[in-house]
Amino acid sequence: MPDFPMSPDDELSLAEIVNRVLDKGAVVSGDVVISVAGVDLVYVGLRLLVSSVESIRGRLEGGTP
Amino acid sequence: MILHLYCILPAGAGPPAGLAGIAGAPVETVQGSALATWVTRHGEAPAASPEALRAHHAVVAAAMTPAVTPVPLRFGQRAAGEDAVRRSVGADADRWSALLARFSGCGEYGVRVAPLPDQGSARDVRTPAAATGREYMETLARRHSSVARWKAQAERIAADTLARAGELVRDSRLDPPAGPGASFSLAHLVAWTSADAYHSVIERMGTELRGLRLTPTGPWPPYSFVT
Repeated sequence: MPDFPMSPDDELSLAEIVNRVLDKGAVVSGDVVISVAGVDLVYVGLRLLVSSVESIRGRLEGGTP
Repeated sequence: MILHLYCILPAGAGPPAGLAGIAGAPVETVQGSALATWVTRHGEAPAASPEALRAHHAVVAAAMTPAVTPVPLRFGQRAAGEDAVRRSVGADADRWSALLARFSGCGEYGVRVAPLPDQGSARDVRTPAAATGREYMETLARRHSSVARWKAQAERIAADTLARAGELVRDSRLDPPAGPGASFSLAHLVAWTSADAYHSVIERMGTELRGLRLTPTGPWPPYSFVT
């Protein structure tokens, strides 16, 4: 069994951490925004996609091109 | 003020005294009716720097105890305030509670598998220049075949590991190789009480698999098993 409380092994490669922290783990709200060099990049934008679909559908129903 | 989210735990679970997260911000708990979420406060959303990623993981790792294994959250999730956190987390409360129950007393162990440097057949990553279109297509076909063979081997190794580990592994995932001869990773959900026996299995496999290097990693919070 490991020692608790667990502290990150200093020898862990950043690649192992990045692979888990950026590409795995749970998503709570559907929007995961990664800020890189001061620019917000939408990493996963499920809610944005749904909003876009609803917006387009609303315009179609209203006859707006 | 923006809240950066780290992990979800059972209600009442608070961070160790003095635990700091990204940029040294103190880790706080947003308590819900059944769940707690660890967060830190920031003037602007933390950038995905190596330091921030390490700090995020360090907080999630600090949440692990013999009895409680958190639901790790992916980096980059933010909320405008505590009410927004409660709404977001509460919307899927049943899912998080089920994961917490499943993860209790367990951790994720990884195995990175890589071909040894002198294994030429699996490392043909450079394709020679083709003089004709036919040669180009034949080269692509050979490369595709090489990738497919390596991926098939990765799947066989993953299955073999599970067969050897048996009930020591509660769940497993394979991160397939990205190309011919590229390393790949296995992730296993293992009870803490089975960790020593599990490591013996992996160590034995490492001595028996010719031409491959097995590198155990972990334990990790169960990032790979949230879906």
